[in-house]
Amino acid sequence: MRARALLPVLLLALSCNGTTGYDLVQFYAAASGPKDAVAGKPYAFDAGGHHVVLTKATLHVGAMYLIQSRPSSGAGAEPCTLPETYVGEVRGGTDIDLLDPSLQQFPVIGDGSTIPALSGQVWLTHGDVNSDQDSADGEPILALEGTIDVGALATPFSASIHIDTGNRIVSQPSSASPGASPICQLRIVTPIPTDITLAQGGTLVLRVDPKALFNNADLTQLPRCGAGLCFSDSASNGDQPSINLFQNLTGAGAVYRFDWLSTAP
Amino acid sequence: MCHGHHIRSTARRVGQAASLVAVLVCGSSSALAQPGAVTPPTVVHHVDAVYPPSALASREHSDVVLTLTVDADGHVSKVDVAQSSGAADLDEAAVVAARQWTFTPAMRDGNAVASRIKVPFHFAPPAPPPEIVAPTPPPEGQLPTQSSVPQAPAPHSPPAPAPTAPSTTAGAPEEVNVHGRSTPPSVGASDFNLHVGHLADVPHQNASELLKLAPGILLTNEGGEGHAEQVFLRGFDAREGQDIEFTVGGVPINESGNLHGNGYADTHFIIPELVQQLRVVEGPFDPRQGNYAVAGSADYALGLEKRGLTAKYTTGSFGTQRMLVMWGPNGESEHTFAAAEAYKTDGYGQNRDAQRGSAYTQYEGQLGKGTYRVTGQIYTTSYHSAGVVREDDYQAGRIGFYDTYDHGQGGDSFRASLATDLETKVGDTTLSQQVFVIKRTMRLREDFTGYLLDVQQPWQNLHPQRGDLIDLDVDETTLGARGWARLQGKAFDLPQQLELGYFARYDQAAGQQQRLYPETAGSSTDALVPYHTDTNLQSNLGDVGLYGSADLRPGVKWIALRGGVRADVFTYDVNNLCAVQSVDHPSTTNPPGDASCLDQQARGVYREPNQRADTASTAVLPKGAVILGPFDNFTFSASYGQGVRSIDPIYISQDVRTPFAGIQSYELGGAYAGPAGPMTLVARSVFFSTHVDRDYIFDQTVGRNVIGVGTTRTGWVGAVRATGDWFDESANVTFVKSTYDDTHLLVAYVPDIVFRSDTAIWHDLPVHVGGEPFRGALSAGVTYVGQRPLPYGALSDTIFTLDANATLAWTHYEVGLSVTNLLDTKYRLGEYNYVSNFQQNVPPTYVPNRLFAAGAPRGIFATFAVNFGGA
Repeated sequence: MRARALLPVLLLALSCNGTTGYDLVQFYAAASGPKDAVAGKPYAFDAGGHHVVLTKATLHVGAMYLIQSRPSSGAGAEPCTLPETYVGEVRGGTDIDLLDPSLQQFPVIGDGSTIPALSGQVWLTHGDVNSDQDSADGEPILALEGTIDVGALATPFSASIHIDTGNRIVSQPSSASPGASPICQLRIVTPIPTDITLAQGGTLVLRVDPKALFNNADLTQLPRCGAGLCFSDSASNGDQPSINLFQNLTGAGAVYRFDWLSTAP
Repeated sequence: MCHGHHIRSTARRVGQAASLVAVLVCGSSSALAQPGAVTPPTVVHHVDAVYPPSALASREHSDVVLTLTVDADGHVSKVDVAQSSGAADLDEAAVVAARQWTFTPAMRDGNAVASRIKVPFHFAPPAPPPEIVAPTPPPEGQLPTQSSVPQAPAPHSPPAPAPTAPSTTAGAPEEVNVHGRSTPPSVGASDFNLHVGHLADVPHQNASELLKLAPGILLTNEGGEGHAEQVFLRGFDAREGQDIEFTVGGVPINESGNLHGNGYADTHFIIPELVQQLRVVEGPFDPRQGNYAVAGSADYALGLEKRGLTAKYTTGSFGTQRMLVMWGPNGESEHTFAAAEAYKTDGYGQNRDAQRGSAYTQYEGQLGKGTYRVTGQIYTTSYHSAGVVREDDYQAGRIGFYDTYDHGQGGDSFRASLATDLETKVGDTTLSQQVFVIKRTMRLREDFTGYLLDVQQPWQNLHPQRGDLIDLDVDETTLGARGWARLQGKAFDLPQQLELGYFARYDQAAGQQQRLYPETAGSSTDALVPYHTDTNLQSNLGDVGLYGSADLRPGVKWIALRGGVRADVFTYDVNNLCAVQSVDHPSTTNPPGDASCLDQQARGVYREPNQRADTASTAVLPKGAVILGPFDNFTFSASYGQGVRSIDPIYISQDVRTPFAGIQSYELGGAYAGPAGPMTLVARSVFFSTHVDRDYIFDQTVGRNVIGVGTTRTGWVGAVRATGDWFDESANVTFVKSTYDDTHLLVAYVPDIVFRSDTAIWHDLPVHVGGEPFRGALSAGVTYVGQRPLPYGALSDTIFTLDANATLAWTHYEVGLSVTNLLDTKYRLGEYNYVSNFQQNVPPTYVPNRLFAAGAPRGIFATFAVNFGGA
């Protein structure tokens, strides 16, 4: 009797009782500006000894990705598609109002797995990350407007930043490495350190700090354009604040941070 | 297929013969037959011969001696007139009667085997006046008297003659000859000798599907009709046979050095109608098993039972047409045959067309006390395949269930082989020697990932994703031989057996894998042009194995100790012709550009693109089993074995030893084999556990297996085969759990439950034309596969399919109707979770998603067959 009773128990134990590990999940995605900003109001801060008031700050993000590993620093230029395990993706773009601290939802649902992510990517593109011209309509990736106090005077400034081969690839590549610096590398912000494990139904939040765009920028060197100052939109223009702005925009420094909310936005 | 020695044992004729046979069977308390000895067949059902009216005029007493070939399923497959009565009508009457007899088959080591027995018929004319006396049937199980008896009289028939008394002529003892090839003893409950028999009527697309007669087999195929099936067996994803040692008549099928997977086994060259028997050993328990016997081994035994010329034509769904011609010369052995097949289909859905031709010939002759065979075959095929479909694309309506992303997928194959072998006996020693040569080419184009892999490298010119269509081709030549000597002796007054054998194989393999531009609907000039070389190998591989195996009775006749040890030496000499595919700081004066195989090292230092490596290693594999048979027809066994699988040549490094994966397997089992009322029953129950130290995991990004970590499989198998006069049923179920040793997570894609049933029934119908009855047959195959674990914690759908076949035969003609997937189930034959990007999405997708390979919808096929000149 006991032997007969053991058989179904054994068979049950042998059945598909277990998992292959991790799960596939879907999640929401959103972005926001700094928490100390007030939606609809100018955002003021100090940068490089100058008082800056932003009246407009719009960033276009084309996609976001999360990756299992964290590439080591100083490893050199990575290919745009990493030989790593991607654990999350949001494959749709949106314009982010960087002066609005509320969650601004992406128009697509994200897909991923529950493998913990140690780094992330932000793709600054309106379409194909490899195309020579990012936007057929000439839409910028970053648009800024505001005033900078130069001395006692609040001087208006603006920035309209595009990432195209025409304005960003200014030197001929080495004959030995013609593919060393493809335009996609300039459009992909990576690796952004993070520590997130995705879960079904939660929200991946991209926090963007517009203050950090002005890090290390000597705003007194901004060139004049008309009645105000303009950040240059070309890599061939050598003014230091424009170079710094672009580096801060496309670098995985202080501008971007990923957060995770366990609920829908 | 007959297996057994050429032995001569005497048995009394007629009723005395039956008594002696009965004594021999009942007198044995052991289910363990002496090694090499055969228990003769016993009658289950007999039909008396009718004294033909045409012979009444002569009123002769006459004797006819017939030689009956009794198959392993107990049916009479062949009747020869050993001694004629001198009258053709009397001979014919005896033959007609004998064909209808059924037997409990001869048994050898607990396995049913074919046999030949001599049966005398005595004809005595009826004596006047007519007086009906009911004949006394012979005792059950005894050979009945062969006197003619009256049939039930027809209303206007002549008076029924009285039965004559059985002949009491004392004569010389009859001979029971059990002939055929010698078979190794069983290594436990997972040693399946599967006689196909009437189950050949169950629809089978190819020879691989006959494997389902063994428990726990699941076959999938996402690569097209010319691509080998992916085989799952007892918790193993054996890929395209890399974990199963496949042979046909002892000639290897596994391809060493095949770039798609070392051990790739394509059985499509085997014409399924020629498969008489399969020996499937689930586990590495037999010292005769060699490389690739990780999950087990499968040996196809070919033969053609129906003699004469048989032509068969099949047509049906998906534009399918098949022509098959088979020839079995009368008077020659069943293992002498020739067959040729031509086949074409448009396939179901998109991009599944195929064409193939196959020819197979074999001659078996006698050489002294032995037999020799010469076998040759040629096979060629060309096909397209649909590959996989993303579930989200299907659900969104972007692609159909039976559609394809890439019409460039497909391939072609060629196989030719020549083999000869000789088996003979010298005294107490049986000797066998076989040599073979195989030529094999294969081209395979598969696209599992779409536009994902063509990553921009710094030294390359700027390029977009050019597509992941993999083009793999192999060209292999194999030379080999095997032989053994089996010595029988006695100790403790019990038979003992010792076998020493060897196996040798040399493979020369060239394999190249490239990536092609896609074949788009717009027919680009770049279509199918290679743009990158992934791999280019030339390999010289050697495998020499020696084994010793013993079958011992340690003083108790119902205990058998079987096993031995095998040692294999593997040698590798691999030349990688594309060894350098990346370089740091490339030379500006010699920029690599888009070349795949580079001729420079870091900082531009020149080197040749190739790199050679050679190594060797030895595997010593003990294997053993204890077989207990204290009760008639029951056996219990405990088995242990170590197996080996040689590693892909691409992983070879200079002088790095142990280039193989090691396997340890255990099992406990019980089996019953014997009569059960009106049928023969074989039933088994087996618990098993197998560990692999380095398992294979299929990597879709490279299109082949890559080495993973250790895994363990634990499970249970139940199998039943019941055979009667008019039915044959085979059913089996396997439960298994496969886990990784380090994480104890489930191994993906391996089904935990597999159930299979094959059923065939047949009978003469009450319709006669020209005195010959119509014979009808129905058969069905049912498959159930439980949910399979997929990566990322997902589960696949279950699979349930039902195939059926009906045939109607009359004399030499037969018509049939087959329906595959009778319920027209839309099912996913293969399901996967991995990263793919078929739509050239912008932005691309880099996380895993569900993909599937569609199973075939319902197919209806009609078959017409005619046999000329069969005896």
